[in-house]
Amino acid sequence: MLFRDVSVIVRGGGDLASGVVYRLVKAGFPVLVTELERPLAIRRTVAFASAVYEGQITVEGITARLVTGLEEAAALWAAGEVPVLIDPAGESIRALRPAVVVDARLAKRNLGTTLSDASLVIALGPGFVAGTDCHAVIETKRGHFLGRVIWQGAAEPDTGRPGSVQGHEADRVLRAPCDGELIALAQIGDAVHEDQVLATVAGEPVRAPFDGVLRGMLHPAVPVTRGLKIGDVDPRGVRAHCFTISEKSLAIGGGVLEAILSAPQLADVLRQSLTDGGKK
Amino acid sequence: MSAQEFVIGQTVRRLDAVGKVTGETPFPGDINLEGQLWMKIRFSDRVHARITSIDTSKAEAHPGVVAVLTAKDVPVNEYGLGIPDQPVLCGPGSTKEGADIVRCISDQVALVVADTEEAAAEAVRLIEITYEDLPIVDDPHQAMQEDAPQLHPHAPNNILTHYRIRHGDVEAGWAQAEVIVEGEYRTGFQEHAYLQPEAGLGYIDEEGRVTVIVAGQWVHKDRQQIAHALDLPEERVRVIYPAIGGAFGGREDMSVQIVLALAAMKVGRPVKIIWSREESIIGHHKRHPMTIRAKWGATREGKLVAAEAVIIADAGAYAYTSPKVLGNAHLMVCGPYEIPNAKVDSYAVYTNNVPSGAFRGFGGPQACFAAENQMNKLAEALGMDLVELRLKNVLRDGSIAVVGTPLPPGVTLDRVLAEGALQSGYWEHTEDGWRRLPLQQPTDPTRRRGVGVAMGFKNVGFSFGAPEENWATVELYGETEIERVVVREAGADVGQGAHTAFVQMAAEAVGVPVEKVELIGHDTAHTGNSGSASASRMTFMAGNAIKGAAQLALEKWRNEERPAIATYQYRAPRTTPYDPETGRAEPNFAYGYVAQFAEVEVDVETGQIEVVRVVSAHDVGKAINPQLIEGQVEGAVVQALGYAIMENLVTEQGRILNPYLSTYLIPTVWDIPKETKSVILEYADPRGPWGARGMAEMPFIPLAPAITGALHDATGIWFEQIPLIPERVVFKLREKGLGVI
Repeated sequence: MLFRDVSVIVRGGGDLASGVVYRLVKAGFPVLVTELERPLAIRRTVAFASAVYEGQITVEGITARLVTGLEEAAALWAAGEVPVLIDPAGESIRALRPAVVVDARLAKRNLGTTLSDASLVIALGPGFVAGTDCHAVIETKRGHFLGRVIWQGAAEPDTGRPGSVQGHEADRVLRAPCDGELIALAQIGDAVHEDQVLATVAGEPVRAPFDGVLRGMLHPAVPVTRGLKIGDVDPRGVRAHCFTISEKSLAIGGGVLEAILSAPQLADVLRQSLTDGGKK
Repeated sequence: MSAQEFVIGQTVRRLDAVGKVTGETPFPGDINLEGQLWMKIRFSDRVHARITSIDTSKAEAHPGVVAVLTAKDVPVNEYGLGIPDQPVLCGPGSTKEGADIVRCISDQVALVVADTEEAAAEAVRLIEITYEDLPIVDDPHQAMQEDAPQLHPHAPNNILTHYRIRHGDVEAGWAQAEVIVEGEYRTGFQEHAYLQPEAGLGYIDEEGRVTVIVAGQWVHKDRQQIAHALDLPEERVRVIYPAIGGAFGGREDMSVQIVLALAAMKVGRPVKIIWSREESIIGHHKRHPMTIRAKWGATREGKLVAAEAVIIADAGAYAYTSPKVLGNAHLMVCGPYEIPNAKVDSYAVYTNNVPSGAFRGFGGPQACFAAENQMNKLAEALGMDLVELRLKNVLRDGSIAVVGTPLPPGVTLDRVLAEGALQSGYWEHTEDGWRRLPLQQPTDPTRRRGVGVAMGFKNVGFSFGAPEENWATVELYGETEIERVVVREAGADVGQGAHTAFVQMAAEAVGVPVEKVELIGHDTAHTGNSGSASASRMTFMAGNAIKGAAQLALEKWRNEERPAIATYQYRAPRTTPYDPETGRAEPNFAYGYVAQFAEVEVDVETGQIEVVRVVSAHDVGKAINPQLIEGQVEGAVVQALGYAIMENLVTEQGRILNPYLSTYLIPTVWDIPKETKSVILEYADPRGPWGARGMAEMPFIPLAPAITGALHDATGIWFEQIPLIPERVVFKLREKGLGVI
């Protein structure tokens, strides 16, 4: 591991966060993921957050494991793995004192991330102002500016509408029709047909808006509320997309990597790490 | 007699519980007699061959050897439960024509009796047998061809049995049919794999009777077959069963009985044998592999109008119970449904494979596998609910079955299915009819989950005109009140708990607590004929006999006879065989009904199947002992699970390639469902004792199609062949592109 002394906490283990984690682990950073007790990730097959439910998950060759405390992290890092800790309040930031904190929760608003969390604090998407809430913001909106590092100012504001994929925007996202228990009737990777019932919430059907592949489905352990994003359908219909990290996630991950490697406050520790890491 | 609590319907602890748990109960292999010798059997080395000579001189000269016996030593060298088509020992010099031919690897050729088991084992290998190979036919379809080797003179084209059903006008039925579904279903062999391999002792008892201690299912029939082969009057032969370590139909035919009796008679000393597991797997029969082609038609409203089926059952080298097993499959292949037009042809065909015979369900599981898969396909083709469609078609009181007659009164298929569906938690009944509730899919996309349903019926008792009887004696001892009750009843407790049920029924009938009842069980010297512990009949038959004997004894008691002793023979209502041309019959006098629901998870990458949960609903008429019923349900579900997904007996040219439990895999605790729920319904059978029906086989019958239904629900794929071993499942999944990213 090249940058063994430059630890990174990534808050959130959803599919976009996992693209960031993937890039950082590949580049040689020790990464810890913090998550909620019941993560809300929907693209669970490519989200390290799934380790919370399943104990472990491997995405494109990188394995994440649920840990119960920070003391378990070092052994996993040594094995090239990613520890995932249930830590909704971010208490591990004060305990671990990482060099970098990435807020990858995509809450579209700041849930309490501050500049003082680490030497470098990076936030993904709208809801943050670089220089005020964090040091850098990464653009997450699909399109020309995706993945750019913003050192001053904010990302594009949240439109409330997901980016278009083959002409499908909002309708590709499945939302809970009411409060209640989710029963998933289809699985991620399944080819689905328009109007097929993919899940029920409190007995109410959730139907496929068009033909495609089911790409995301919330874990049924999450009690859902009306309007909550519970899944998404991809009209491109390529099953393999469900099991590999998306171009969007990797673009954002590239932005995070650029921010870390170019942040002046980390220059010394990175250089030191390169020298030591190269020897060890 | 004082007023007392009912004994029937209570979970009375099994009489044999403590002894079996502590290991004190002796099974046949645990018993030793003074001065006993040991026996080993030389099985056939060839699958199909004529034995031209047997040289026993080296074996006879081996130290410790007392006797070597071959075909020429058997007085009447033939046996068979139905047809005596198998030599006791194969080889030249026999009284029986054709006995010099071995027809399968289960055939026995010679016996060595020696001072020790080791000496017998060494000497048995020194017997030199010269064979002249004959052509092998190991496939029943090939065996039916004109140019196939002929195995028995009484069976042209090797067809042992052919039954027909010609019901209604099947062509008119097809004309009415708006939806037609077809399938070709294949089922495999199954090994009984009872805990206790075949074992026993032969000796001459204190009254000079040739006596065999063994585990079987019907002492009197064993005695008859031994007496026939030894050419002795039946009174000169005695058969005793100690504790029996499972049977499941596998002990209905002879294994060590005749040869033990023969050896004891010849050497005049006790002779003991214990089969190894390999000998057990090679030496006794298996469940029939069957191929069933089925075509069913229905109207768009879901009413069945026509069915056709052809069954080809591999009988193996000898008849055993094949005609009877085939009879059951023939009846059940159209399902428990009212189908006005039907045409069925069923064949049991001799081959050089290990004989097929009785096994829990007795032809029912194979036929049900075809019928219920057909029903599942039909539901899909019609877009109808699985329960709804079945309820539209099930036989009810007065419905005419495909054999042209109604089932005996008390048909409760509809109630069993409906109650089972509700209690399973997988269905709900709404104003619009039956509706499947949504099923949570696993979060791991390599695993898929589905739910299946299947139902079935099974006769209680022998069928198709076979006479049925059961003798019981009840003896009441005491002066002013009954202090002790002795029941003599030969019905075999093969592990199902029959003896406990007998004692409960006797206590109830006499009106005493169970502690006062003493049972004298399976010993031909002390009991009358009970018939076989098979066909889910023992509670029904013995219960009626015990009840009858108790009533007669109580009458004598009231007339001041001390002791009051009465014997009663219960004769079951008459049944009739299939009409040879039309199949019309009143085949059975009682039935048990079952509906099962299976929740199954399949790993689409590996093809591994996990049966997560089974709900098994039964009409048992009256639960004499509810815990014993739950035990039967759970045991049958595990055994049927093995049959459906694991147990793969591999044969090649008549030889069994995996005659070990390390290679023939049966379910372990890791393989069984997380939950097996018994739904016990009590809709009295008007003919049953206290309303009881038989139930022992029923929970086996529909599980395989419930599992394939669940697999279809999970994957959209129809599986028409069992066992569903992973490679077979993976092959089908990959064909449909499942399990690959």
